[in-house]
Amino acid sequence: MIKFLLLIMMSLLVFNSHSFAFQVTPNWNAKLEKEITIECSEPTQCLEICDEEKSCTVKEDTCTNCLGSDVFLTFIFNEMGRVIQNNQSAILASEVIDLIKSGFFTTINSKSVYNHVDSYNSLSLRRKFRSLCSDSTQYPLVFISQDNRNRKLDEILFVQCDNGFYQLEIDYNQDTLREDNYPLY
Amino acid sequence: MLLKLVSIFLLSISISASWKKPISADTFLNINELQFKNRSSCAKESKRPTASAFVILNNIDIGKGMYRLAKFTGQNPKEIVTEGIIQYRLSVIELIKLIHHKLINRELPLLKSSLEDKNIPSRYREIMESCSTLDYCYELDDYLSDVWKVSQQDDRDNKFQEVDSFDKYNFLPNKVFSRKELKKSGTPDLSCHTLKKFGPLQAHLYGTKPDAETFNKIANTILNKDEYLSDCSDVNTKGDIKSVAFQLDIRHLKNNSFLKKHTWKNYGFDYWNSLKIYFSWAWRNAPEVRPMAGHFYDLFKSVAIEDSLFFVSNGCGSLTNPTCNSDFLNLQSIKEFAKQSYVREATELDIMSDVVKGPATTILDDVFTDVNTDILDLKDSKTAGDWVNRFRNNLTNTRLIYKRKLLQGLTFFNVLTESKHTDSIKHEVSHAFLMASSAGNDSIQLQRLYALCSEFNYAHHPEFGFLIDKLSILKDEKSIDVLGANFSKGKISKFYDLYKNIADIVINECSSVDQRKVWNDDFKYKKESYNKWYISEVLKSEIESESYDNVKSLWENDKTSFLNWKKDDSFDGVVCYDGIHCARQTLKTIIDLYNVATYSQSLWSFNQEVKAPSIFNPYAERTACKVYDPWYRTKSIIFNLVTDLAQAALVNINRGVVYTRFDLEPGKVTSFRQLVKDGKIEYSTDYTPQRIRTALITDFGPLLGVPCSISLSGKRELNYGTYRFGGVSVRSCLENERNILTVNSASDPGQTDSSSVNGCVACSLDFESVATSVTKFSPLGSVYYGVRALFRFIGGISDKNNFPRSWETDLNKVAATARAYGEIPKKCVRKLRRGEACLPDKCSESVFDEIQGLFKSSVTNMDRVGNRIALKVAGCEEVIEFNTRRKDRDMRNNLDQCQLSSRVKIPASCRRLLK
Repeated sequence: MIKFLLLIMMSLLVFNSHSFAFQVTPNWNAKLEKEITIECSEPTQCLEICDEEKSCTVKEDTCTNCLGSDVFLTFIFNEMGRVIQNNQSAILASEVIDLIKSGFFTTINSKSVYNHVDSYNSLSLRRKFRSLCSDSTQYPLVFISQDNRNRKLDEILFVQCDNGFYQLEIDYNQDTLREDNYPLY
Repeated sequence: MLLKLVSIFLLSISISASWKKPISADTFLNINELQFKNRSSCAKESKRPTASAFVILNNIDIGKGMYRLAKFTGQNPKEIVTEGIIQYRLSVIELIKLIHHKLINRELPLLKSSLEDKNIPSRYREIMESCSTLDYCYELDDYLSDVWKVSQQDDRDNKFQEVDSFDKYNFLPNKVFSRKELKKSGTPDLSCHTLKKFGPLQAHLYGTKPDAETFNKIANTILNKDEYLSDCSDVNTKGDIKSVAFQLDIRHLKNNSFLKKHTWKNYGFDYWNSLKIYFSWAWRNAPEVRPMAGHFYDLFKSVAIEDSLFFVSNGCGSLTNPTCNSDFLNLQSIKEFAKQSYVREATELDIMSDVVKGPATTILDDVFTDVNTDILDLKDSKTAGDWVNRFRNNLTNTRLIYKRKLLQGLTFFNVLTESKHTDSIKHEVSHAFLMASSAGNDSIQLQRLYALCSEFNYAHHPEFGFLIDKLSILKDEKSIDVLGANFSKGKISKFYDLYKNIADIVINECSSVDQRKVWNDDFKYKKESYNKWYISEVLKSEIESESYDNVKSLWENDKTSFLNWKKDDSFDGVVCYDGIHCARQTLKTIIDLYNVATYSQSLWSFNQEVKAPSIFNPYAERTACKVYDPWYRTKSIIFNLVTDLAQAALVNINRGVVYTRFDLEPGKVTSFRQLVKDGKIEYSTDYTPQRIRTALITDFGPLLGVPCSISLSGKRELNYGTYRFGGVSVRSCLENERNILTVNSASDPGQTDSSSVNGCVACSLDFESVATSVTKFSPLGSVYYGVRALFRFIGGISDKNNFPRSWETDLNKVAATARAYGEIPKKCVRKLRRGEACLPDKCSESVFDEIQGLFKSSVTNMDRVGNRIALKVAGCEEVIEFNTRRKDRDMRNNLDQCQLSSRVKIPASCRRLLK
């Protein structure tokens, strides 16, 4: 039993140590369909997705109401790096694979077609996205889940930095600078 | 033989000289008759479904997406955007046509617009009832998918039964459309034009009773029709890339006289309801859209189509059956965005005010508004695209303002909730009061405290609070939660509770201090210290608020704050500088969220359907809410007179709430307030009637001519005396010798008047706007009402708009008349107003309809010799002849009535023009 647990832990460690090399790149193909290309660090990863060993290209279904002035998308592009923060919890590649396999996801970065709040790939937008990664990732890629029935954006999940995937969270907890000033009362 | 030759010779001479302006160009228009209506008739018509609509399509969202896509893929943005937008426009029109054909061919069932109808299929009813309270109706998607699949198959009748319990009443019956006409004509039953310019072809939107000048303008426009419209397939982006307008006309309705279209009356609303629901679903899900969209399919699918596309009634008829509920009032308020004056007058519009009153205010404020006098400023736009752009810009910019309020509001409350410092706010405010008494009269802090107490007393005081009822609606409000569902950790009800908690604290703090110590007699408050919402709402002033600058100058002294954004040490990072700031921001923010909740349905689409307002008929909502009644105008005048005069009496004698109960037989005309009371206003089913009633009465009181809910009491224990804040200067109860209320305005307490009624007075409404009638409880009040009553009465009976009148004009007959006479003579005006042709030869005139109905292009010339009519049609140079026979003699008009007996000669070159 102990041996079995050790084996599982070892395999997780190995898997995780390679997860940084698992890379997702968004693209629009010649048919103007959105897709992502996945470079796998382990052959099993890509085999799980597309029966290939090194890389897969998967269609990313467009999200409902993403071209427009959707309030959630405005929030995302406005609050990226401020309310939306990297909580430094690493995400396993397997979680990313599961999401991709489900087909209900949307990826965005500063070059996103869905950005309606700022100019295309603007400096301020690049800064916001880059603040999500502690390394100097040029184009952090944010993953958002889709509602699995109507394909509307659902939940902000994680970000892909050069050194791996990290969980994103909506954090409204801010500083209270004069908190200690109240013993007077 | 010789006779025949002579006859033909004579005909060819006469045809060349018969019509004065036989322009050979084809001017045939496949457009419905124009329905000219005065106010009352237009109000009536709102209850009928229209057969003509505009389709307004905003291309900005899709255009922005395409631009970014081109940038991403390294393609030429201009080319991609232009190509994509043309494809987008074509796809929208093609899908509308597809759904239309499926509906009229009974390949798709009608989706009933009212669940109160009989014959609602059980599954459909269940879905619509259960989904009315849900954010998104997945079951409706499933249902539409099932129905659509059957529509693509043979043996539909049986298969439809597997989907739902449909019967024959769930499909458009044959009797709605003239099948014979459809078969014979071969012309589309849904006529579609791209509008280049609004003009005389929409003359019914510019004026009521058409005259010779109107008809001449229409005729000239028809002769140059290419400048005004083109076929729907012409969607090039030369006109305007940002938006486009189409005109849809449903043709070949049986009984082609509008007033007799009983069948369309019964099915029209269901038709439009079906079109807007099917469209919304099919745009994203129907396989037929893929070939329409080509390689832009993925992009098109992701467009928020319900925010980009509107069906708008072309005239007085409606696309949505008008009902007096918040959904419809919000829908109708969209028309404000189309007005030229929107930006100029934005600050005066309710939707742009700091504390909104809601869309119902407009209809009560302006009951007898204009209609059919170019109310949406079509003439100010060079092109139809310009007009649509203005509409789109105003809508988009207003939505942007509201979106900012929503996002900032939800973020603020989330941050405040997470900080868990409500108690600290209490400490901060207490401390500020403590310190303030030692501060000089000129200190910023003293001003801020004064503003804090004024603002909260105005909003939340248990007796005077003007906003209590309004804001409490947020407890059950859903739209904010739907809009913020993915990023707000708290619900609006929770934020309202937080606000209420803080407001109670502030009210308590403000009332517990000795105000005369804090603000002694040398203290002078600065109006600029108030927040902007208070300045505009209470002071009715445009002075600039200094509250932001005041906080900034305090912050610059110590560079600390009560609540701050992480990693942002600048002033921009300050959420709340101190407790006063936090409390005032909380109040300002909850008001912002209240504003968003009030107008969210106008600005966002919550339902899975395309919006379809009657923007050219402001009487749709007035009639639905019985604010205006097209039938009982005379009764209405008397009603106003009676209620006003009675009110005048009540103002003097009644202690307590001055609300009257009046209703007149036949009972159609009544006050909005009465309808609220009787539960006839469906404002929202989510709220208890009592609470809505209270809120509406509070809100609509002044608009109904009732100045406010006035309570008179001489009791001292009410203890209103200590309030010094604007609008509540009722010290009277504490000082018996001066127990007089005189409120000239919220910001300007007036001189006392010893002749007024003694007592303590609480008026829960805006003092400024009703100042003239609330000033004193003296005979002046009744004079005010008495004068107004007489004024209304005189104004009412001299108003010619309120007796229903309507006129109908056939565009092709106007063109024929203009050709025949060179221009429209005055003698023809009456006939054209009746939808008839007016030609020099009476026999030709009586068969014009029949003849024009045979050809695809316009009749350009016509004459009669004996019993034979010769004519020409556009596109064929040769003469076409018909035999006629005498039908009867119209003794009344002394006209020769003919009918066609046979075709004598249709030259080969003209046969292609036959339908």
